[in-house]
Amino acid sequence: MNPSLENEFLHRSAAAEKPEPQLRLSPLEWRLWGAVDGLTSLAELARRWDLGGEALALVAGKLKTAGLLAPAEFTLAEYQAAIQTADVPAPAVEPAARKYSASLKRRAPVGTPAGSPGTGGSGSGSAAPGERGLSFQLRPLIDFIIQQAGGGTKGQLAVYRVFCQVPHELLLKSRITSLNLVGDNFEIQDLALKSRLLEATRTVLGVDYR
Amino acid sequence: MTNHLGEAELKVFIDLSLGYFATVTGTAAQAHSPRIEFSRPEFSDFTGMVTLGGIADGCVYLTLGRRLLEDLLRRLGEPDLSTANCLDLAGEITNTIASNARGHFGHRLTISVPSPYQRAAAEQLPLPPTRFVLPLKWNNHPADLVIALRPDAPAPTA
Amino acid sequence: MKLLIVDDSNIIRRLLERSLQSPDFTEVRTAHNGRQAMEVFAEYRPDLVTMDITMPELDGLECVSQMSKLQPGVKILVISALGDRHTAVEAVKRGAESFLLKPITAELVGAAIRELFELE
Repeated sequence: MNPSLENEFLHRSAAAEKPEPQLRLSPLEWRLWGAVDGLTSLAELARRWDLGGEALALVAGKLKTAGLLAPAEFTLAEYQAAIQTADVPAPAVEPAARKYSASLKRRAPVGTPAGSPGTGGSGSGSAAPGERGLSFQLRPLIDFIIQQAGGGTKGQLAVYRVFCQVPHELLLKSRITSLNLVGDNFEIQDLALKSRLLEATRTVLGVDYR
Repeated sequence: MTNHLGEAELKVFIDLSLGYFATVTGTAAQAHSPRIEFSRPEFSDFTGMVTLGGIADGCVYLTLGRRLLEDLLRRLGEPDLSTANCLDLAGEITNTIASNARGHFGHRLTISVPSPYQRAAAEQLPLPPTRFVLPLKWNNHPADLVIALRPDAPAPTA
Repeated sequence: MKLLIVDDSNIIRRLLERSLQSPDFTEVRTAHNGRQAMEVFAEYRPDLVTMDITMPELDGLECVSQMSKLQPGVKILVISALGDRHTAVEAVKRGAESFLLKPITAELVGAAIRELFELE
């Protein structure tokens, strides 16, 4: 398999989140379009589905050309943190300035006990057992959503609409039972929750959180 | 269905809720910073609830403690502070707010006839799991104005 | 003068009874739904009616129509939380003299009734 596929992470582009009814995709194209989450490489998906990497790359290329998929990008800080945390080799391809892709193994970072409490807020969010990875602060995301939506009550309602899209079982699993829109912060370590939050942000606002 | 209850609609409910107390008692209520709740809802002693349709799918309710309602009954000159009268008043407050709101929204947002509940009955209601809670305070009595919307229909998946 | 108070809320009926205690009103009766209101009206023939709109059995707008036909000249003050202009216009078209939007206070109701009789 082409080694570059190990570092190819894609997500659904905001503009095409809801495809037009007349858009016709093959079953594999639908499958890929639904499965991308910005965190799972094309190579990993190909292995999971027992497919050749090149075949999947072709499908991905078609969806990218159609504007339905876009590369997922990480900042240098996220990449460095991922390297330190996950103890994985550096990518084979030299990353472009300020944009790096990282291969994240879906396992708990070494030395982090299960169920460690989150930071701040009246209700603490803690790492849930199971899928853990790069820790993710909720406060900046909330501030981003509020700002993007125009601030004030409008922004607060946008936050609510984002959280309406997130299965509340995931939130409860991370021990988040309540969220004050002024002040509260949580550290999210559950990858599934992080993924759903980012997806919901994209769905509600039509922009990606960076 | 996509829920489009936006700032304008929320502002109507907030202004009408605060306005009710100001008009009836001469003492304004205050709204405090909102929170989003994901756990089982907690109700006060009495709750007045309306369901929404049209541009939003869910419900709005005002949950109030007995002490607030008793204080309000006294302000209205009502000597009988019974549970029946508290329930009646919770329903009347919600009815006033909901009916006033209909005038703002027209046909875009349908609002049901309100139903008043005591705590035990309210706790049995099947509500959407994620709620936007706006804490209010009137004369040092707390109350919550709550919006609970059903999640949007999911996008098609592979 | 005879007064009839029509509202499905016990609190509002009692509030109006207390607010409108006056030597001007020799008798006050109440009704808690539209059907009861028409039964009482037919027998009692009040001079002034305060009428809620949203009620079970028979809504207030229909009561206004029927009362105006049964007793032309009866003064009807609609007191309702329905804030849309259409309801107020409809009430007046059917024979109501005035429209008061809830929430109400004793002072607001008193002022509305004084206006009703000053217009004569």
